[in-house]
Amino acid sequence: MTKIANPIYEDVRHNKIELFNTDEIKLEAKRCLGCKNHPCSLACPIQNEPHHFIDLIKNDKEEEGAKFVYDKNAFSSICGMICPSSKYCEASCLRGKIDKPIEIRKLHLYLANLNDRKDKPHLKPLIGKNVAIIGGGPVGVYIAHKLSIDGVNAEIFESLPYLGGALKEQIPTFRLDKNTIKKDFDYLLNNRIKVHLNMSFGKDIKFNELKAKYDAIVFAIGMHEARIYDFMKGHPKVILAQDFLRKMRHDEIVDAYERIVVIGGSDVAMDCIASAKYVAKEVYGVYRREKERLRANEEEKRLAFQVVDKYIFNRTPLRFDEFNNMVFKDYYGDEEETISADLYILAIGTMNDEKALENIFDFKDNNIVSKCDDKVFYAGDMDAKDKTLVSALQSANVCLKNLYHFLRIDD
Amino acid sequence: MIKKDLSIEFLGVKFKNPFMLSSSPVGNCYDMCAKAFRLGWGGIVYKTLIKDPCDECSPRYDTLRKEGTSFVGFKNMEQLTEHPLEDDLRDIRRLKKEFPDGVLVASIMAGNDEDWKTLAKQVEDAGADMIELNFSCPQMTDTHLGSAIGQNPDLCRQYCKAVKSATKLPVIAKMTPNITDMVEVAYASMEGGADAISCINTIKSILNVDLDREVGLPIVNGKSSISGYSGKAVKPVALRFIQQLRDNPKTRDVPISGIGGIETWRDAAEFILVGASILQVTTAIMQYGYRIIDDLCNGLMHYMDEKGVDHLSELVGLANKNIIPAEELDRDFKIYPKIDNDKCVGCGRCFISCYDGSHQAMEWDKKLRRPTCNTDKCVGCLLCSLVCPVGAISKGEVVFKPGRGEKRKTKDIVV
Repeated sequence: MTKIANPIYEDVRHNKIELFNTDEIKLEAKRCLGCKNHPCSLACPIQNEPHHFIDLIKNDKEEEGAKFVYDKNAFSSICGMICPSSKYCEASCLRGKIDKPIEIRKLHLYLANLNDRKDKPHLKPLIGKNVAIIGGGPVGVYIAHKLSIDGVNAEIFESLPYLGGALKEQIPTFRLDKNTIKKDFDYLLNNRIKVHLNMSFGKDIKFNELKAKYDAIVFAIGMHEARIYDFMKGHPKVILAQDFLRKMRHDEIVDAYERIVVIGGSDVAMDCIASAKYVAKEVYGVYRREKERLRANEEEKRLAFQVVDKYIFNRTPLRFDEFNNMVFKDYYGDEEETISADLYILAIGTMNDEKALENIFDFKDNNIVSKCDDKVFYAGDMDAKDKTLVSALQSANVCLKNLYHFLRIDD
Repeated sequence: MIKKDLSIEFLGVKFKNPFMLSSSPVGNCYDMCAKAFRLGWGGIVYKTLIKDPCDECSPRYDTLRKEGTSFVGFKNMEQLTEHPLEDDLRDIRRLKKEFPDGVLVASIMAGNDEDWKTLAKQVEDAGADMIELNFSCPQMTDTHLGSAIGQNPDLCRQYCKAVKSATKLPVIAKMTPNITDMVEVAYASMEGGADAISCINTIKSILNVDLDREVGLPIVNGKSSISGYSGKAVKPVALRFIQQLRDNPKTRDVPISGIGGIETWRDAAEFILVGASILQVTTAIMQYGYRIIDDLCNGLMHYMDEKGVDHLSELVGLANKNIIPAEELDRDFKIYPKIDNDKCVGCGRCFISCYDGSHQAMEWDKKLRRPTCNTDKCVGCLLCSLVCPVGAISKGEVVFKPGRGEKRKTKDIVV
């Protein structure tokens, strides 16, 4: 891979993974005001109870805290690295009204890293139920983990040759390293979970066979169908964000580019910008609306804006000109502007692959309804409000609740 | 920059400023004292002289800490001088010769009249300006010395008498806080001839206990001892003793050298307002060095300017008349809290403290996350204003208690 040495990029990378040391976590935890009804904990979509682990740090009980965070969240290290905490606990932290919020995510990560994850949860006796889970991403593995603890045989079917899903395919390594993923996944998996790799749903495994064999089927396949403008389809200068990020992640981008243009304003677009800086001399961002409307969270924006050479707003893609450069239109007017580049990365979102699932689910107004059988469940990005791990896990918790009810398991 | 005259006269000796090193590890030899004089300290109480040098332990200090600060309390097991007497006398002589304007006080301790007299003569001959009698070191290895003297009025009287018979120098008795009533021992010292009182020495303490090894800190070969506690944390105790001396007719007019947790000019000003004329410092120097003298002097000069006084002595004891017995306080009224909703961040700490620690008068709007005071229940303790992390709660409306203050007006109440 042709990496372009970029000092700014290195800064970004180090900035991102800078960890607290033992003195810093104490000082940080002691900044906590100890608010009534813990607004931080109320804001956590997956009930990690930050107020409790902050108290543990205040009271020199870091080891207990390390255990606590994993009891609450089996993805503690991963969430410690990629949780958009500035939208959740840290947004509601009232200390932020005085100076700045407690850096809860970094405290969480510190505790998670203290835990060697050797002490795995106790598995209850088997209850004779079998559940198939389609998708070996974080949500599929999480659901298998929970089911196996409660005495259910869980089998994961994953189309790729490895588990990890979007964490391994989409998130740049500078935000989430492979080692962290491995550690959390090793903790999640156990002998009771059977993993079938290289098994594509619809191709290698058929829905009817699953239906006959398992007590329940959970779809946790993520959201893969990328949105794309018709005029871009098949154009050699266009790459979909998820394809670009996957190639970056697997070191498959071998060219060095003069200029890359990233189209979009989401977290994924920010990841593309920060990653593109690795392989391009210049990286531009283009967003169809104003800067204030960027949908990415603050931390991601901060990183991207440190490296982006130019961010152009209020421009929507229109067509390619005769030199294969993309022409954009002013969002509010008719003026056109050509923004030349060697590569255009399209990061304007993904949808459920409704066609592949058309016999199983009805997709109506963002509502997913099972068409055929009450033993079919879904969770994760298919359902989540935003495409973040916490949101996906929040959806997984809802799915588990329904599933337990269906299987008559006491929670 | 404001320039004010910080000089003050104490027992007929002129100090260019009221700040002294106290008798302690910070004034232990010529080099240390010379540096302190050069940096501007007004005086030095040289570390206590005794006939036979002390045998010290290792380690000998420990600290009480709080997040974000170096330490608020300090425990010290060091006793008196560790040098042969001749060496200390030589250093005193040399310091007086090289720094004739710096006030040098010799601190001494002994176990009988003869030794007190001999030491007093020796330090007078060496050129000391005053003598301080150490009646108060709480960590002596000999149980008849140090604070054992300061707890016994007869011994205080007797030793003061002995010293006064041997020297013409002014004599200060340094008192221990390890006692209920300081007036008795201070007055006994005055009866014996003491011209002034230094207060306080350190407080007997166990600062921390090692939970694994079940022993106090610092650990000296597996064991530990009770010893003196100093630093910012003891300031309230020192101020209280000084006030009590100034409040009692027997000791009202005795000049006082204030000691105990002076770290900043504010601390210094507080000691002066309750009646100390000169001030002694150790723990802050051990933590930050002699250089703090610049900030102490500068801050005190600004304070004098704000108060509009030209002589430091005008400030001495100004607070004494306003600190009165509890039974004389005006108890006819209460002050309700005033809550600034714009400043409030909604943490709810006032609600929690009022409910769990006071009178359940704070009410809490769950949705808005804002407190309101129920004046039917509020007793006006204002605990809420103290726990508020952003200062959003201040003193508000003053009301008289039912049936009280009929002929009075609330606007006359000083809040």
